[in-house]
Amino acid sequence: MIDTILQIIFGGLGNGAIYALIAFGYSLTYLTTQTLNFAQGDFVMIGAMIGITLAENWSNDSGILLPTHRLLWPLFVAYIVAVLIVAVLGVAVERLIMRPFSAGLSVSWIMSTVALGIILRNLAETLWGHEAMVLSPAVDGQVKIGDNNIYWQQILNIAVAVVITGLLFLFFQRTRLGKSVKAVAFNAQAASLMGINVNFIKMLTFAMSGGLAGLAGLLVTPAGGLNGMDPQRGLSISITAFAVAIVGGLDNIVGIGVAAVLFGLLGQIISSINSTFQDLQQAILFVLLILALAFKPTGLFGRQLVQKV
Amino acid sequence: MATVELERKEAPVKTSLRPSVPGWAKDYSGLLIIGLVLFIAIYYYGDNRYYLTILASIEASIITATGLNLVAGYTGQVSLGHAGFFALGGYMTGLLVGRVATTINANGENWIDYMYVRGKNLTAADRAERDGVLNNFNTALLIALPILLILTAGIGGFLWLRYQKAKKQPPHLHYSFWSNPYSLFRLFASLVSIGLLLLILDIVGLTVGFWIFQNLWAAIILGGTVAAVFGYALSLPALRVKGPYLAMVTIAFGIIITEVSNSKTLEPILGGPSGLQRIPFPISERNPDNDLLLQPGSDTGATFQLFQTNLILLVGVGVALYLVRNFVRSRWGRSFIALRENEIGASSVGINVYRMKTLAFVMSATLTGIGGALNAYSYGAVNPQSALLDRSISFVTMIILGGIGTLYGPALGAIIITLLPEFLNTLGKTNHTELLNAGDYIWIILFVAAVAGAILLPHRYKRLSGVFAGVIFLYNIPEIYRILSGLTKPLNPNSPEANYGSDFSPTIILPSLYGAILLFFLFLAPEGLGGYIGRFINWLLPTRSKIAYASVVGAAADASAPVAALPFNCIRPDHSDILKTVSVTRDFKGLRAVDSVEFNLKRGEIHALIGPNGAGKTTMLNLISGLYPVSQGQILFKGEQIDGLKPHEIASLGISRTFQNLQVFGDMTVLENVMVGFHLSTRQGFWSSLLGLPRVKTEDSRVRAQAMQLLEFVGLADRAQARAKDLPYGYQRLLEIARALAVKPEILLLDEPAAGLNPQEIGDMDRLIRKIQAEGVTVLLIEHHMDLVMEISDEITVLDYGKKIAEGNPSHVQNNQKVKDAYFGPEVMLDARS
Repeated sequence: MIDTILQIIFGGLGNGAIYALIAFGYSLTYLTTQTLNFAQGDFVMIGAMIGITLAENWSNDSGILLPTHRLLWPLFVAYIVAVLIVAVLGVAVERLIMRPFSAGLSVSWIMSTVALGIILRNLAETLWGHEAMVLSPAVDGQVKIGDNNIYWQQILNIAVAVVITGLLFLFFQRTRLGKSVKAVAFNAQAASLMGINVNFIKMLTFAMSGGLAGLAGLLVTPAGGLNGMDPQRGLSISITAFAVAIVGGLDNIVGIGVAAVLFGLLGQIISSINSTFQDLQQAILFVLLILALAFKPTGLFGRQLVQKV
Repeated sequence: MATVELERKEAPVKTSLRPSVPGWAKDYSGLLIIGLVLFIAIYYYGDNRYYLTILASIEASIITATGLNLVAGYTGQVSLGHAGFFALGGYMTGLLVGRVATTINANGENWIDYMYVRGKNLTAADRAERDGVLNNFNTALLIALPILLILTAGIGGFLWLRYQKAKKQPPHLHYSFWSNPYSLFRLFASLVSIGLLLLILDIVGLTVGFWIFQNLWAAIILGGTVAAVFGYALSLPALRVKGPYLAMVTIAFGIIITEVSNSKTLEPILGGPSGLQRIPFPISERNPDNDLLLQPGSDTGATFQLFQTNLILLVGVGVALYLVRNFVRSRWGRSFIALRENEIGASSVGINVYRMKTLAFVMSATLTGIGGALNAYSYGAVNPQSALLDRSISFVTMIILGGIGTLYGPALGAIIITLLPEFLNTLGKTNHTELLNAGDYIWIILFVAAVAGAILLPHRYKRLSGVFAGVIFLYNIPEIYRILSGLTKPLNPNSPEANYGSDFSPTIILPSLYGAILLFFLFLAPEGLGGYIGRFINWLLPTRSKIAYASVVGAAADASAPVAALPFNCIRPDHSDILKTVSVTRDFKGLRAVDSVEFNLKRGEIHALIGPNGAGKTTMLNLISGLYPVSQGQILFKGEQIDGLKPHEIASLGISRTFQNLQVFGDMTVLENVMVGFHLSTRQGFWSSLLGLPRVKTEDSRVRAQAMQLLEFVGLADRAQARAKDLPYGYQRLLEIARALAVKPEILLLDEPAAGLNPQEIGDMDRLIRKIQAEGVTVLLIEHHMDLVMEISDEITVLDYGKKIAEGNPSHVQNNQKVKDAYFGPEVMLDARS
């Protein structure tokens, strides 16, 4: 019994950590631009794929990239390069999609980022094939807690998420830049009158959002041992993360943290009941999400929005 | 005024060179053309199973895309889960008439087979059993029908009496849908009429003898209804707040449907990953001994039935387009567009924004469910694949390609997007002995030239050049992927198989093509194909109603008695208290914007609310009009408490307003803006609007004439056909006033109507406000132009830091020391400076 509980807790927190990282990305861009990137999940996947391509001794069956192109860089360098590339992708989304479409109907930016997402997914499928590719963990091995073997990577992920939450908190509370982000979130026009470069702040949040997605991809790929990353997996993780962001409240970093843990644990509990529930894990989570939103439309921890007239 | 007359006379002369057609003729001819093209195609390919399948898929997609357009195009909210509704409709069909191919019992039949005895090779015994069931059903119907009729009459009579009684009583404010006798009666009447329709269809079906044909109705209705119920359930969490919530919740919905239909546990019912198969055609009874899809020998029979199914689907397309056309051209469609353009503006004229959005979403889900049900019939199968996100995206791609928010664009998009995979298939595998051939080089040069043109050419040609580059790119996407795959594969001249791109099959890049099409149209051609075709047709054949509007203006001017016909509540200004605020307070997180303010508004007077910036004037107006809830205190309108009501409820009581930050419906014409204002006083019901009954048209033209008179009243008649967002600032203010007057208000709240106007325009505004007062409308005015305020106000209330500091007639307020202090600072300070 205690072992099952431990397993649920570690598994749940590990998943929650990934959800939190991706959901912070949604939140950051929503704060400053009231938009969010529907291709975030594919950014997660691209981050992992770049990391694998740069660092791993990989092989694939159906993609057009051939193992002769292996680079075998050190893992650490590959991490940094992958995160940077995805951050640049994030900036491109802000610059090329969000800015031109910020004035019109939401359909435009939503569908543009969705389109970007399917193109990235399709491109990844063509390049790397549709089989999962594995990334070696940053910290190898397992630790025995009770009768459970917990991967060190799992624990690392939890630690990284906690550290990133703390850093984000410090960023918003202590740094000039973080305060500028908050100012833009509160009132972009007034912020620009105070000499804040609003466009730069928006790009910065998109870069941070992209970077977090890339990092999440690199962390989640080796998390469960041999799960690996395939072109569709990023999307499915990010949709749960999206649910986390909305339940936590898009404007509330702490709320998102709580919701991420909640979703991670709930997911583990649901799938530990029996195989039926395991099949329907995401469906059950989403039904709960829809119920939660029906009672609290702006999320469990979101603030009530007052529209200015 | 003279110039206005001149323009008006000239307008018809300019347009008369080209033949003009009424708007509705254009609408219906679009429907006819689409129907005719599909009809010819169905007949032309009537013996080709492959093409018939594609055509059926096109027809189902048209119904779905038209439905999705109601939400995405007309109310401006994008749904990424319509494939979920599509699959839901399909599964309803599958469960109702199909068979589960997977689980088979000892007798070689599965339980749905057992329950329905349909679709398999019928033996004589099977037929006898089925006929027995049918006879029992008919007997049961004969007994049940009289009972049902009596019950229906009883319930209907009860509700009708309640409704009649309620009509005599004063209107109550807090009616919900379920406690409102009127809406209950209507719901009941709708249900009864649907029931009657079904009964008639059933009897027809029985008489004609296609008894399985009845399943078609059952499947359509069940598919549509289940989708509608799910759509309503989704609208609860998704539509109450603006933002990306709908997109999120609908994605989640699609995943729920996919997971549930894929689930191992439910496999005996839903068939797991392979889904429900061998669904018989709706008219399969014509050829009962064939197992339609699976027996190769029965191919001709199956093709004929597919042909029949296509005709049924075509009727479905026609009906769906016809109903949607009527609906979006009615007051309902206008309010959809209005809330897309501006939710606050829409609620200020009495549109219940949440309810309208829900209605659009539920209608859209229903149509999609029906599309899915029909699609399952024509394919003979339904599986979890149909709920996937990529499919939802392809539906949205259809409407963006075809023209979002256009009437027939989505149908066009559905045709193109459905044909796209077939087009890719025809490309097939290509043999390339070189990585880049001559054709590729030409395309690359053209593409580079077009991109250079888009950057370097003068502004006029930039877009054209960009579109050109985009088209080249779209066309060459398969080639680009082939080259990509060729890049990494070394060419082996010894193997006949090996060449650049031999292992690349174009169909796998379909998602990329959807994505590229989406980006192309969103960035370079946001109106979509339908939008541009529509514009071309409008240029070719101008709509006659434009001239009709002009003649309405002429008629109004000629009759020279517009005042009597103006849509005002002519109530005598008896100077009784009409609005009363009782120590009204509003807090914003520690800031008390309005602090126990009390004032009375007397019927028929012009009451000004003035004060320095930040005094809480606009907040006060927002409290009265229901945009903000009151923190403490009460607002009474004719003695009844109205604080706590929603903006649209307050508008329905007879309080309408204009906005300091204009909230016009930018993409609608000036006339349409005012017509939306008549939302509350028009009574065209849902069903009559859907069917396009004559009385709908009568009321519409009445509203149009009244709106025209209101535009005349505020002096905007000559701009009636301009787009609202193209109007100069001052005219937009006048438009807001006309729109607010269309609500037939007893109190008109004007928030800085003269802001940004020049002295002459302020004079016009002065006269206009007096004219409004002369019609018996009470005016509450916020204004910074003191000349105007002092000139026209009967009573002035002065606010400062949220508190009332003075009240009285203009001369009294002007001499009030506190007011002087508030505006100019305390005199002490002035002294100190001098």
